[in-house]
Amino acid sequence: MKPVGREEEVFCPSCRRYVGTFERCPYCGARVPKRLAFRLLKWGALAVAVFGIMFLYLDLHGPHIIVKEPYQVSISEITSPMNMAQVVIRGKATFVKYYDDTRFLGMFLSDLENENADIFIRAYDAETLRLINMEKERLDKNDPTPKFPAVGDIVTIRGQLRVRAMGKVIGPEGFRMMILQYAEGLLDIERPTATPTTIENIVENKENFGKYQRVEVEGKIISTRDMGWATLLTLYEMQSGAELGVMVPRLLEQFGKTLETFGIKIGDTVRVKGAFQLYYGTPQLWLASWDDLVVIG
Amino acid sequence: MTDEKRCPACGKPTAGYVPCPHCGADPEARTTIKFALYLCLIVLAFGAVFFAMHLSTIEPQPIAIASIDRWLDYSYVWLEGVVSSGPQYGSTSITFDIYDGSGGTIKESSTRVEIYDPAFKQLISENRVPRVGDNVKLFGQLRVYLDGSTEIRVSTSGDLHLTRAQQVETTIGELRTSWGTEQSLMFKRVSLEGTITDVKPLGSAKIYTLEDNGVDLQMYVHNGLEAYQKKSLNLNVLQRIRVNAGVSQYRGQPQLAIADNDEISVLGTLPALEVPLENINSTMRDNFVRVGGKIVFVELEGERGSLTITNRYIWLDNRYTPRIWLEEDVYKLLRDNEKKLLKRGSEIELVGRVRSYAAGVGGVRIEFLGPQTPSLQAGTYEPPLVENFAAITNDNQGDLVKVIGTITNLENVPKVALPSDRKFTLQDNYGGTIKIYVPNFLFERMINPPVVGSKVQIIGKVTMDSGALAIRPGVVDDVRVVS
Repeated sequence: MKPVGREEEVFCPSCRRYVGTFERCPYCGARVPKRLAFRLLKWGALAVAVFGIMFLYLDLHGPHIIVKEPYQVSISEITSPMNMAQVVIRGKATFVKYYDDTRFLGMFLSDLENENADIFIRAYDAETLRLINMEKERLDKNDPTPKFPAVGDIVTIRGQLRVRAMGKVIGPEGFRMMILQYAEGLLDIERPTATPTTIENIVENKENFGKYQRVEVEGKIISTRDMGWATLLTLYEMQSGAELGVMVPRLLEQFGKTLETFGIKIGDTVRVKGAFQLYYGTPQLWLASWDDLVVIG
Repeated sequence: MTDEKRCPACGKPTAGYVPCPHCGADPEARTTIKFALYLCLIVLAFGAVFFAMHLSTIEPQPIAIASIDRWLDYSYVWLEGVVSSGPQYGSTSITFDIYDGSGGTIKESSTRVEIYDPAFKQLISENRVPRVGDNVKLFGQLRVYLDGSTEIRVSTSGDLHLTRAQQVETTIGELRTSWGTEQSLMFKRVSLEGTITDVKPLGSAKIYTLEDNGVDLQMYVHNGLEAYQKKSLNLNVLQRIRVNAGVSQYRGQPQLAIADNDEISVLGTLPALEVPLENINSTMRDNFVRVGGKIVFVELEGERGSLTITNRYIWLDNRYTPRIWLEEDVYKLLRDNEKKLLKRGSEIELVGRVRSYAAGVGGVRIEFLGPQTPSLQAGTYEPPLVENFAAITNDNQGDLVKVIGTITNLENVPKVALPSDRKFTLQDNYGGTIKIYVPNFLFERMINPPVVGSKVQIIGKVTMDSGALAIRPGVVDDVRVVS
């Protein structure tokens, strides 16, 4: 086998044994002089690696010179070739659930321009618990900016797409999912302003209300019913006699408060903001947060 | 002289020994490499063809539902069974249960199936929505939850193979008789006739009661059919219908499961006996009657543990005629204008069923049956005014009265975890007093509730409360603050 490199660089000048790229002979300890290029290559590569990673880290958190923000795509445009891509999407939350057994967060976001296109968002237990803690802190501080999504919210989220190919079909069909890999990937939660209205108006003109539209009503609590995954409050409007159900998801108890914490009971008159939804044709509201429920009498 | 033969495998001299003493090779048994190569290629080719043929002809092998355990969570499996309940239509999905008999109980042998968009819409367009009684073989992702419940999610319509069930002509009586026997029609498809005698609205469905020759059967119609498929059933009480549906079960009892409104055809309407109210007695129990009269009083009944109204009792013409008993869930099925007219003073005509409610006393009441559209005409009525409360005695218990007076005292009658009932002391112009008992579900609905010092008009029923006479209003409008 013939050695590669100049003989004076790869053989020890003292004991004449082959040393390769070593700068000190492993047999006799003599220094084996190398050309600058060898050393530059070795130490330079290490330096570039270290500084490169530091630069990438700083760039990611700052100027975004090299590391650009992921593309923002429309939910309707997501197709199977985008599988595994890091993207930013924005949509309306139409379903939000905390799974007690796995402690995952599951959420459906629908495209703001096309409500028939939606995507399932999942956050695993560690990130879900971080989001819950963030929401707890903001409720304790009376910060109005929500940290945990609720039905009706406009959510901007960055994560990794998982899209199944439907055989040979490459298109918007098929199940689309995004993994929220870290809590900070939930970039923005916009909770629309609730439109004040009456229960009578909601019940008699339900076709005038958009799905998940946020509305605000007042009424007296005449019953509470434990549905397991939520508590159903029935509100009675004094002037009209109309009744409306308000769902208080069990999920809200994860933020350290319950209906008992606020002393809410049958007979109390409350002001509620919630997302409008039809349950098999019957209107009901979904409560997004504890600060959307206030006792007024 | 030593044999100089060399081993063809290792090349060392063997000295004539067989096999080679160095490597153990037997030169006489040696196969050439070329031969081995060709043999491998032939075996590969045959193996690949066999595998391809096997794959193309093999049938999917479903697993037994009873064998599903937590280890199968998130796995993709084939299941096969008969549709045992549903379908329940959502806005973007349908759900139904399938049963394969693999376990000891129905629950062990059943699982929920969910089909979302776009597969759901494809099934509708292809008219392949599974119905109770149909056989299905499907492929999807299993979910096994901590509480032991399972569901399978089917992603594409091609993953669902459907075989429609044959229909069996039968009657409600035969279905009931065979229930629980080997000839049971559970999870089969049937065609039968019955008369609608009742409806119970639930949050997600309506349960109709069908009767035929004194035997009844429930019919389950999911609200999703109306809400999301825009198909409404306009059924009325006493209509005779023919139903082609699957036989599901609920709490051990048979229940028809409607998958589409086309499964129901109205054959006619049975007449109800037109009977004057005063002639209705316990001998007419369970008969269907058509009655009418003037509403003189409406009594609301509240639910224990809440302020919800559960029943309304309507008095027609006078206090002696049988009450009309209207469940609140059936009341909510009425149109808004009908609800507004269902009050004191209106003339009403309705279909009901005579029910006994006080054994041994002969007391009867008439159950307002749904679904129906009662005939209603606006009118007014107020009972006679009693100016002197001393004229109200124990003999007046059960009478309707109107009184006007001033509230001199207000008591709270505590209720556990609820707002209190209220008991007012009302004083007339002669210094006489009487108690007015207002239950919490009425008081909490009053926009301007009376207070001590208010002059009020009360219309109500004379009753006893804690040993003393009291007047109990029926509805919020029976309490009017005059000044």
